[in-house]
Parts: sequence; structure tokens; C-alpha cells
Amino acid sequence: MKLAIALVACLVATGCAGLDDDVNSGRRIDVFGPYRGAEADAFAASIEEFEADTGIQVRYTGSANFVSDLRQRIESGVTAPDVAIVPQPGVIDQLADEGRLIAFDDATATLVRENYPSDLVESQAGEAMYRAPYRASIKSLVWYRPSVFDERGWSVPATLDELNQLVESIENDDDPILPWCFAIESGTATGWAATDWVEDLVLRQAGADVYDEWATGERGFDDPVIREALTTFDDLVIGAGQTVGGLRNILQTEVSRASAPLFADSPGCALYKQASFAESWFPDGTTIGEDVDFFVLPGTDANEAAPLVAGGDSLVQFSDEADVDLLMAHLVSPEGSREWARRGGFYSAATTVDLDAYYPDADRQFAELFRGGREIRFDASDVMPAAIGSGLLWREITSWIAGATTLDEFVATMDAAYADADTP
Amino acid sequence: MPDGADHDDEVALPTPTEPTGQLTPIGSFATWLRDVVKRQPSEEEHEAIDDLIPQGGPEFFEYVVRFSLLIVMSAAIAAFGLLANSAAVVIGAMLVAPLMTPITAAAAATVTARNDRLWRALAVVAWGTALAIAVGWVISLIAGGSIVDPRDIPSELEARTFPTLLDLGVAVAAGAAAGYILPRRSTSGALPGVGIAVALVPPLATVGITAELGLSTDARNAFLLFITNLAAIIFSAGVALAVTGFRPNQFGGRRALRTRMAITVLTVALVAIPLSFHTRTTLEDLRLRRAVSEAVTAWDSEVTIVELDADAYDGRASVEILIAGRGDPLPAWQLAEEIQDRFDAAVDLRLLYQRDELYTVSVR
Repeated sequence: MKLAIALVACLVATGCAGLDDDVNSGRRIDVFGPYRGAEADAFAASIEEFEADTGIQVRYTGSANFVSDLRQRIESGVTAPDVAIVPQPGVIDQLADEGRLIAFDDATATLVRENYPSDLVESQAGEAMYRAPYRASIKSLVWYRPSVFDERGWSVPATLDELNQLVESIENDDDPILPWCFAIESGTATGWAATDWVEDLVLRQAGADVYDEWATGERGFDDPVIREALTTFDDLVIGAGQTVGGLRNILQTEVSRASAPLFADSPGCALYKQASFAESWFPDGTTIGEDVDFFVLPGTDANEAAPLVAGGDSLVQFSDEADVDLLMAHLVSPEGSREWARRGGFYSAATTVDLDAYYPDADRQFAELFRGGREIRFDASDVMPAAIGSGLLWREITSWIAGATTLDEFVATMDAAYADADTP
Repeated sequence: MPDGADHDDEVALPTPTEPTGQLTPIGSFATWLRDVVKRQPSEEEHEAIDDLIPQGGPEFFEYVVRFSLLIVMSAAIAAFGLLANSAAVVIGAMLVAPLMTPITAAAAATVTARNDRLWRALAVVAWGTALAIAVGWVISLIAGGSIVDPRDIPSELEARTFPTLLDLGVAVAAGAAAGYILPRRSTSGALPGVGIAVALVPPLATVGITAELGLSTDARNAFLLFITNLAAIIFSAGVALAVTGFRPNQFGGRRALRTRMAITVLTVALVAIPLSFHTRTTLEDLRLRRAVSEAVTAWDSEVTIVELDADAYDGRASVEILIAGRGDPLPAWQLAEEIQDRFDAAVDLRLLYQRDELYTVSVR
């Protein structure tokens, strides 16, 4: 199958006659991304067959400091990767503006158009294509253990108000169980887990239009609705007695380890808000739907389906060698993620994928949520200009959570950075 | 004591130059060596072996009381020493430990094919084993509170939770020494050396401590170390005694000896299986540590490794490293790739950077 893709890529691409000469030059292709641990294993497994079929060697390296490391690799010139998997559209826009990205060859571009919904690729239609969707995720999920809820008579909340009431009941429970598991440590990206929380609250409390204005910089941080979302987040999650381990744990525990108390025999927390990809951080053998389940963070109105904040990792290319073109063609095709999808923890926005045949049960639920007609917005901080959304915001929200800055200082710093960016 | 070979009518006696193949290789070797050595143990040497454990009556009871007290004391010393991470204290415990006596008595009873003595000796060993583990457990309950995380385990304790083939080698050599020393009262001054070389009570105290801490794998491995030592000492002390002329003195004893030695050889072979896995893992870990050291130098020659924790398993390398340096750290992904270039496996790296800066200030 991989060979078929290679051949299709070759047939569609110009200069195909050079297959023997150009392909498999013997150089190893470097792929750089944010996946580590089990996710890195799953990604590597998804390209094993490609390597076997083509003889092309691929090395995947994943870093917790992905954004800053990618910047350093590109600017150093000698260590730039051939392909990168970037979760932040803002970073990709900046790289494209700087002329760092290589446009996809025809084979890859065709495969992207064939496999993905047009709204995901239309912004690039008619011009050179620089990015391809890869792994999608739903950020607005709250994980809980049904057995813990059943024992204590708690039920899944239908509105934000009900969520507040549930949090109060958990606080008043006799057991030493706290409402939330939450932590934000993630190297130079520390803070992203907190921005996800705030984005979900903005989208629910202020609506999609305001959310879009905020994400694109038309609406600043020092705005009543943004302040309201930040205050809600503070009251609901950060406040004393709301989160396992308190502030110290929030700041020092790695994001991927935050859910551990949820799974303890005597659970430390009842709720854990994290994206769909959190399933790969759960203890081995955890069955979603039995050991742990999820609900979408509720909206303000029980009669309307709550909107979703979505994330998505995109593929970009830094080298135009024939081997790299072949790898890109493989990665954008459904084959490029089949092994990861089989293992669980992968969902793609590709419309050509048959949900029943492709995904394990839990991932199929995510896919159905995606296709269920809800209002969906991309992670706002990832859409913001890279210097603001993928750096400053992470640092500033962390300082604010730590108590090093006040809410006033935090929003003022963010708006000042926008003002500076606008000034030529 | 008659030479058993002269009375054996069941097995053709092999000549030194023509092995018949009817004995095990070890048996053939022992026979050959015996014919070369051509010696018989003296009366005094027999007595020394017979006196290891009193045979029944009030004397045996007194012996068991004395033995139990020494076990409790040595296991307590060992457990405290292990928790305090003091090698000197643990060696002290080895010198107090009385387990070597019943184990070598078991080896002697194996060689002389005296079942009553063998069972009695093994019963004493089993009692001592249970007692030492229990003492380790209780001491850990009292004094193990400082260990709240498996990573806090003192190195003295940790060293006894991963036996390898090297430990088997030590136990075989030390067991042979015990077998040689025991019948000769003139050489008994060397016996404590055997006890230190092949420690018996510290691994048992380790079993008790780690079991109490809920570290079942560590407890199993420490017990494996004890079983390794036990089996290897009985085996090699038995061979040493056989070579120096000790034989079964009853009719048909030769076959009994062969059966018993075969059982000890089988036990040693069985413990060698997990030990060889451990040895392979140790060698892989060593190779990984070397690869990491080289990679760090290639990555940034200005930094030094402060702490390195490297585990190789299942075709992957898990590396945790604390480095110190003066300048800004270079990106960690480069180090991970340098490690992979040298170790050729999936690498998971956790890098902590500690600035090599010290500020001391006094204000008056």
C-alpha cells in the first residue's frame, strides 16, 4: 500500500523518471514534533511500514520544548528538520511569512484535497499548499470515573451552573477528594493547559463571535468577557481547596502526570479537564467508558449542545528532497496514521476515513463529536501570533496563576504586546 | 572411613584416564581428583564436620536457641545498617551471622549422604531464613519511615535487589573455601572471610525491609540472591568436601551422593537462569551509560554529568540526567539524538540542568 502511495506520488509529481536516482538517497529524514513517550512510539509505528517499503530511514524526535526548539533548529540553519508536526497554526503562519516552509509537491497537495474537508484546506486553495492536517483533538472534555460518581450519587452536569454545584458537593464530601486534577508544567510551553481552560470558558460565556475576535486580536485581554472567563477559571479551579496538591502541584507537576490522582484507589480528585489526547497518559489497561468516561464541558444553556475547542497538529515541510516528498505523501494519506489510530489516541479530520473500520471505540466517540454539528473553534492561543499565543501568553498566565502578577498586570501585559506587534 | 569406591558394586569405577561416562562430569572430575589426591580425611576432620550441628537432645535445643539469638541480632544489625546505608555496619552483621554453619552442615550431610543430618540442617536454615526476614520486616516498620518513595532506597539496600551471575560466581568460590576450611580447625580463622564474601543475612534483611515497603520485585530479587548463595554454597562446599575425601559411608551411598549432587547442580542451574537475564540487563545498562557519557561530551564538552540514571529495557533506553555547566544549556533534543546515534534504540530522555554557580553572601 505504501508502495502504491509512493508510486502515485511519483506519477503525479513531475520529474518522476528520477525515482531511482532521487528516491532513497540514503540520507535519513528528520521529523520533529511535540509527541513524546507513548505518542512518539505510536507515531514511529505509523511510519515503520513506509520505511520498510521504501528503504528510506526516518528519525522522529519529539521535544517538550517543541516551539522554542523548532525556532532554534530553523535559525541555526544546520539542524533544521525535514518535516515538522506543529500544533500551533500561529507558528506555521509565521514560518510561512518568513519563507521557511517548502510548498507541497502535487502528489501531497492532491492527497490533502482528496482526504480532508475543503474548509480545512480552502484557505490554501489556489496557491501553494504549506500545511496538511494530521492529528486532531478535542480540548473541551472533562474526564471522570463513573464508579466514583455512582458511589457518591453525583451526576454529570448539564450547564456551567450545575458544574459549579457539583464542584461544591465534591468540596463538601466527607472523603478527602477534591474537585479537580490539574497541572501545567510543560517545559518552555508551561501554561498551555491553563490557556485551554480559559478558551473553553470564553467560548461558553461569551459565544463564538467574541471568541473569534479575541483569537484574532480584534478584542484584547482587558475586556470584561475575557476577564470574566479568567475570574471564573480562578474561582473554579485555581482557588484554594479546588485542586489536588494545591498551587505547588499545579505549577510543578508535568501536564501528562496530572491525572494520576484521578485513578488512585482512593481518588484524589473527581474531575479532570483535558483534551482527548489525555487518553494516552492514562494508566495502562484503562478502558474508556468503564474505568473512566468523559463529558463535554457544559455550556450555559442545557438545551444547546456545548461548543468545542479543538486542537490540531499540522504537517509542514522544510526540505524539497524527493524522499521527503514521499514521506509527506504517506503522512497525509489515511495510511500515515493507521497504526496510531489502531493503537488508540489518534483522530484525524480526514473525511475519507471510515469511522467504524478505523478507530477503537473511544476515538470513534471523539470523531462523532467532531462530526456532530456542534460549534467548533480552533484553540485560540494557537491561532494567535506565535510570539503572543505560543510564548508570552503561556508565561504570563503561569505568572498570574502562581500569584506573581495580578489579573490587571496580566491582561495589561498581553494587550501591550499586541500593541507592540501592531506597531511597525 | 573406608574409601567408598572400593565397596561400590553398582558402578564400574572409572580410571583416571578412561572416563566411563557413567558419572556426571563433576563426578568424573571429583573421582579423578580424588585418585590424584589419594587422601582420606582424618578423624579430627570428621569430628569438625560432625560437630557443626549437635545431634538431638538438649544440646540441639541449646544450639537452636543460640542460633536464633544470633540470627535476630545479626538481622537487626543488618537491617539498621542497610537503612542507614552503612557498608561497615552491614559487614559487622555478616560476622555475627550464624547461617553459614547449618548451610555447610547441609553440604557435609549431602556429601556423606546422611539424611537425618541433612534434614536437620535444612530445617535450621529454613527457621533462620524466616526469622531473619521477619526481623527485617519489623525493623523496617520501626525505622523505615524515611523511605517514602522507591527512589529513596539506600544504595546498600538497592545493591542486594539485583543479583547477577557475578553473585553466583562469588558464592561458588566462597562455598568451596568454606568446604575446604570447615574440616580444618587450623584454618578456621579464614571462615569470617567466607561469611563476608557471601553474605546470607543482609539479603534476608533486605527481603523483609523491601516486602514491608511493598516493593515486591525487590523483595523477590533479594530472596533470589539468598537462594543463589544457599544453593551455590551447598554445591561448591559439597564438591570441596568430596574432593578432599569425604564420602558416604553406607552401602549404596554413592548413588545417593550422585542424586544429591545432581539436585544441588540443578538448583544452581535454575537460579542461574534469572541471574543471566539480570547480567544481560546490567551489561546493557553499562553500554547505555557509556553511550550517554560519550553523547554528553559530543553534545557539549563544557558540561559535566552530576547524576545519571540510565535504564535499557525492551530495545529502548530511558535516561534521566542532571548536568551542570556555566553557560546556557544546549537543546535537549540534540543530546537525545546523540544518545540514539550511539545506542541505536528508542530513547526517552529527561534532562535537568543545574548551573554550576555558587553564591555565598554574609551581611553583618
